[in-house]
Amino acid sequence: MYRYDEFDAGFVAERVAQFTDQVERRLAGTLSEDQFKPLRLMNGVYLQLHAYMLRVAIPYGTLSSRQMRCFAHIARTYDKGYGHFTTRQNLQFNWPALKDVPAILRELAAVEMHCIQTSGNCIRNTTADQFAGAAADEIEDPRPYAEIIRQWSSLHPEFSFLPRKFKIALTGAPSDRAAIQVHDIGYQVVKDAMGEVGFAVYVGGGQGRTPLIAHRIREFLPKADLLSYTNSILRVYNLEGRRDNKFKARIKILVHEKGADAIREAVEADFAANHDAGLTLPQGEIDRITAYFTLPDLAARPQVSAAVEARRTSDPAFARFLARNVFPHKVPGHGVLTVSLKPTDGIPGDATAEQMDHLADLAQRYSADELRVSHEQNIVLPHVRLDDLPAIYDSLRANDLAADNVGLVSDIICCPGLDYCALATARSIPIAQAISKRFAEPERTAEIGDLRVKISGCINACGHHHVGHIGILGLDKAGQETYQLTLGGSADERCSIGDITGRGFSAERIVDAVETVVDTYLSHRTGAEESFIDAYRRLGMKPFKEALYVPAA
Amino acid sequence: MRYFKDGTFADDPFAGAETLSGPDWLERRGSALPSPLVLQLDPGFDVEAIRGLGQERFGNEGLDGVACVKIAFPKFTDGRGYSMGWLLRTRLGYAGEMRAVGDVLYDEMQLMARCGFDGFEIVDEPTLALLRDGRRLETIRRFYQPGLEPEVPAGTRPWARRSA
Repeated sequence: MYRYDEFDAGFVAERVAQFTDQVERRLAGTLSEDQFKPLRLMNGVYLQLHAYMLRVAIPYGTLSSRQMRCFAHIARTYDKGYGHFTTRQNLQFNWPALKDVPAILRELAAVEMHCIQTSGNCIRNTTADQFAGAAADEIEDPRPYAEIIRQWSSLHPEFSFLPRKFKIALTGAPSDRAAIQVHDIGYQVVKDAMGEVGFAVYVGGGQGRTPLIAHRIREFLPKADLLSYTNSILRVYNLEGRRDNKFKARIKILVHEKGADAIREAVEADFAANHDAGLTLPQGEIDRITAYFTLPDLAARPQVSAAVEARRTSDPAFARFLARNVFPHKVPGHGVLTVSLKPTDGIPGDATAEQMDHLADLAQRYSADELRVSHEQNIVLPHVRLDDLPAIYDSLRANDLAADNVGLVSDIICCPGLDYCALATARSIPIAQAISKRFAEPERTAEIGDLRVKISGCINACGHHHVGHIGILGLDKAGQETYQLTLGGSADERCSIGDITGRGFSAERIVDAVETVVDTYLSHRTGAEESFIDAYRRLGMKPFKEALYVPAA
Repeated sequence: MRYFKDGTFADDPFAGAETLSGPDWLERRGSALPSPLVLQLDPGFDVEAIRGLGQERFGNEGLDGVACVKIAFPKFTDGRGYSMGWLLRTRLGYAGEMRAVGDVLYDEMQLMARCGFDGFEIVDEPTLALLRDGRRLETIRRFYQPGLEPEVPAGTRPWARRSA
């Protein structure tokens, strides 16, 4: 894991002092709310429906057990005993008092964490594949590059007042687990014909009210040029992105309106002219930062664990857990374990202080002291021995953390919705809870197989509904919560935006509608090997629409 | 409005001077221009185009003879002026005064300075009060990217800097 040196610690301390002063001036009334708002957003402080919300950055989703324990401590001391893990690998506290925020920032700084640029019209927390550095299918760990971007983007003098927020995601594997094609910039680690490793560059993806898939504007960017090229993209966006309409201000609109070729040309022209010192990365410095992310010393072990096999045959629930929650690790005899934060009737992404402490204990004991947060709002123990899985599973069960539904219909991405958010037009959490209850039967859920359900409580699409295999968008239609259904979206390397089925459904009917879609899939699929998304791509909307909108008899 | 330069309130050396907008300047190039020549560039003005003009018309940089460039921040949240300033300093080699005007607030002044601004026209009363009380811009002294203030490299990271 990356560790702060004196410089990094000093930087965060300066930022905490600066923000503390800004809060004091706001409380004293010498900073107006209009002047303060961008400053507090740039430090992760939102004003929500009922209270301030504080969003903590978990850079590229990697954290230590000590950092997780700090979250638990803050949840207990300054909040209501829980926190919410988000789709951008952040953690949100929903109830802090503004006056306590400086103290919380100092607690976070003590464990090398901060809230810098978790909100606002600036470069946000850089995200990455939650399996980075552990996954068997990876070309190279993208996190050293995410860390370099994190540093470079922090309090950037030129890019702190962009037209709109700006999100960068990286993946090191051909399987895209970081949804890079719906980000402002997506970097995918690739190998060129000579075997040299660099990045394919995607620009202009995004969700919100105008969902657009990113364009690949460069096939291969040498590692050394990562910051220079990013700088050029940001400069073109800062100067040319629309500022006349908040809803047209993201870079995706600029790319869409001007065309990917024009943007590529402008970026390449700036990049060619860019001789800014310090932005070309020397290999020695890449190596120095990469060393922080070295795989822990895991001795290779037998591919098949006798302990796991014995338990698998005797315990069907454990067998399901293995099938859904464990992903192949680079090192034989190990696995990457996803802990689902989606129990039946739970709030997706929420964890109590006790659960956080428990996950920290498990990471310390079984996972080289390391945890990850996924954009699907789950927690990952990246380096576990297969032999330890039975013990970990039992421990998770005892703490209500053993849901065996990773990637299944009940593993729902869900925004906070009208229960918390000032922008929401409908509730989303109760819909997620109702769906999880409808699909609570584990055998049935396993039989349905891979199915990503994503719910947003407004058109801003924080719940990623556009890229859900089944997407649900909550709207306010003349004072009634109405849920629009989309099918066929996907956030992975075969990225697609879902199609709207037709008129929306009431809060009472939406769960039935989801079940109708699932039943239609089950009756049309060629077999269990044809997943929902594959079946939808083969069948199209027609059979689903016919089943959903049966004419009244 | 007060004028702030080099860490102190000062008298504006260009007070009363005629100020040309970017488009006006482009139109009047080649005819008699005011002296000293003071420009005000609004967000959206294409500063990179000046380079072409310079090569075509003046054989050198298009900003030769310009004594002061004011870059407008009509709202402090409109960040185009930062990139405009950065390009004037780094791409066009502009060495004269570069002044931030408009909605200039204390909390943004250090960012402006790091993009090459060396003069400020300030209206906001709380900002003036902080500066009168002796506050200066250097709130942050460690940086993760090269800036245009006096800064020195920090450690092995080529992008890291400290205040000089």
